[in-house]
Amino acid sequence: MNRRGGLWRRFLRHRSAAAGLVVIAALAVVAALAPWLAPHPPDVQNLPGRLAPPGTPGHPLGTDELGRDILSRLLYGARISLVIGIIVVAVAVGVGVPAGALAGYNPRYDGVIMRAVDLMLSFPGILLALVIIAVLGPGLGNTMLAVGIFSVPVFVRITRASILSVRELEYVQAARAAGARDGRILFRHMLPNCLAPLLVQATFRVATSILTAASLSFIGLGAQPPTPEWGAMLATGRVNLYIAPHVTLYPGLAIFITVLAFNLLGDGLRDVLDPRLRAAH
Amino acid sequence: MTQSMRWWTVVACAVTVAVAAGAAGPPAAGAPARDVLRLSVRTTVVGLDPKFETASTVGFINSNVLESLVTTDFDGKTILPQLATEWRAETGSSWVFRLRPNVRFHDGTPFNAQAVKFSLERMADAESVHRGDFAWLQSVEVVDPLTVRIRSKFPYAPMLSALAFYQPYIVSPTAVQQMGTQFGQKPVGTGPFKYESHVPRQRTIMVRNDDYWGPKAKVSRAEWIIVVEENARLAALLSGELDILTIIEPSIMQALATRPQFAVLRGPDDLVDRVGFNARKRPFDDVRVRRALIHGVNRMQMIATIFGGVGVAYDPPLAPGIWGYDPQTMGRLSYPYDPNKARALLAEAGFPNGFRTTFTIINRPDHRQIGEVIQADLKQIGVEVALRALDFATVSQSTRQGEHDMYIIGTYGVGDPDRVLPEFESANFNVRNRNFWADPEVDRLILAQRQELDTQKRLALVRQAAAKIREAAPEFALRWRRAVLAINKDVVGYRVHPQKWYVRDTSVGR
Repeated sequence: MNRRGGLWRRFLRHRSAAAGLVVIAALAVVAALAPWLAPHPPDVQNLPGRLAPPGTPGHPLGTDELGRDILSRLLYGARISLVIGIIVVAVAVGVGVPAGALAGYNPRYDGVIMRAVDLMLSFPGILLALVIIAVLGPGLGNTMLAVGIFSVPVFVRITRASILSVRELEYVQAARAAGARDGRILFRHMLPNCLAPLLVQATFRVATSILTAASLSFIGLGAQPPTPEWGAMLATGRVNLYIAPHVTLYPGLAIFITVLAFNLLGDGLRDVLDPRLRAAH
Repeated sequence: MTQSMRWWTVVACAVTVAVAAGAAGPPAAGAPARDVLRLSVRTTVVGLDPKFETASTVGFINSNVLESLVTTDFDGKTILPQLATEWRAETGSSWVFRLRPNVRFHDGTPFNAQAVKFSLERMADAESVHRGDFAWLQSVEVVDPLTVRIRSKFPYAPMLSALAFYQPYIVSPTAVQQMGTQFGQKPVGTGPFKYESHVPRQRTIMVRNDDYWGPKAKVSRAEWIIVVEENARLAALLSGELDILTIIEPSIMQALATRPQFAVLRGPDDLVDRVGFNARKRPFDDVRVRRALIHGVNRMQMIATIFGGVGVAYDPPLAPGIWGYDPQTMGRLSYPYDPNKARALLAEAGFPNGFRTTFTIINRPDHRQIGEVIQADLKQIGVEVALRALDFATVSQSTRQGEHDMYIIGTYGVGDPDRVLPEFESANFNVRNRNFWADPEVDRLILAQRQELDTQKRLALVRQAAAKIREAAPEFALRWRRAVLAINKDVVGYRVHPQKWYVRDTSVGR
């Protein structure tokens, strides 16, 4: 309890991490309350009022190329981006952590699992995602799956390395001597001691996933119209960059701020949780 | 003290840089005459051999280097002599062309009847990607060095129009034989320019042909530079790096409206944007459903907004630029925007609550935008449309196989009606007929007009077929486009042609 309180205090003293957390919390609130906060439904068009500049009455951030309210679309887009980030990481953790734990704990599976991971890592991530989408077809669901699959190897490697580092420690041998079964040793005793690096990595990975999914939507393979996904909004606004830069600017800023917030949070978590860095402070 | 001094230095530097950049930025009006014309092309160009290329851009660029027997005037309809000086029909399926004397290809080979025979047979042979368009060609006979006889397999009224298109260019037989596969990098013709160099996907450079048989080109060099990204093209035009942007989006028109150094040119275009239904699939096999959906789309608003006011809606098959179009009977849309009528028709057809369907588009910003607007319009009449955005090749393949519900396609907007009527023939299912709609009477009328040489009788047949197609509504047109180009006002003498990008009479500066 005392130790945890210390962590929390250290975390709050880490200013950029705290700022990241505040931004993420704000985004989560906005995403949850989007239907109440948004001044307009996100996909109602008003062609005569298209490309209205920011500050137009009723449209504080202006309208896009089909006359839809940009603020409303950004608010609904926050939902999509956060959900993408969380689901992708859930997929990657759900597959990667058990696989990595197994590889680290039992040398019998180590070879097979790690060679499979090497195989996946031999593709550039975005290319692997493109291949998966080419097979499954474009769409938001398949995009999340694709980005999730290419995020798996990182979690396998980190989990395996952590498990390896604690495998021969006394408390594990003590548990074994006390007659605990493998499953109990692995999940009850070893994994909790590997959580720190996983938590840091998961935070970073949310940022990467949001960015990758936005890129895929930007090239038309992710979210399909009229979904107000930030990357897709960026892509459609690009055509009118000269006459209506705001259509591109705001979704770009939204992606930038969200990704930055998750990265700051990840940095802070690493500083706080890493015992070696702690000694240096 | 030192701090504020440093600040001032920074500000002064910034101002100097900004002023210098501003002065160097836009080209001064009335710049001295330049001998080079630089045009931007939006489509990626790989090869230039008309036999193997289907992209219209290749045909447009080639029109300065290669020539055909006849060409069309700036309306895209009126036939004008080019390498042939006169012609007459002996019978419905046999035409004689008198060729222009004393013309030489860029490589010195004399232009004659043999070259015509070689070039046309080359376009129709088994390797040619255009062999389908020349399926009518029976034979080309050399009567004497300056006379050819062209025979068709059946009486073929649209022959002159087919010969005026940007595919059947007459090329140097010697060059084709000597260059082999390299011919596609530097085709050799008789035009006012000759190719100097070509870098696939980047640029094509042509220089003046000083031995041209007609009026010589005004500039000594024309450079066609491929810039795909719309904002990059605009930036290059504004900075003076480019003189002409061929085919521009409404956003560029709007950006140029406040800049007096630049102008937007318009003319008839050979392109229409049409949306078709797969009439072989339910519920589009019911004419009431097809009509309802057309009534449900607000085309006037689309044209006024996302198309920047460019283009006019019309009833297929005949766009206003096509021979046979009649403003009297075809000037009013048969199925104007009327959501109430649309809902009533759907209810009558047994879909009072609408239905779900898909709309196949190419994965491109303009198509996605059109798709989203149609999706929103049809939602108002209860029809839920899911967009199916695919790459161009897949769309082409999938619509040919008839896997689609609704789809969008661009086809021809000027010239002979037989350029579009094949899209409504049952013989062309899985080829050009992607609506999978046909009618025996329409089949008969289309065949009859193709073989009718009497202009008045043919006109009547074309209009009868058009009326039946309008009634059945297997597709609708969003708009007949206008060709819209942006130019620097230093460019003088450029005229918009729907099928050719002629720059012979264009000059830069004064």
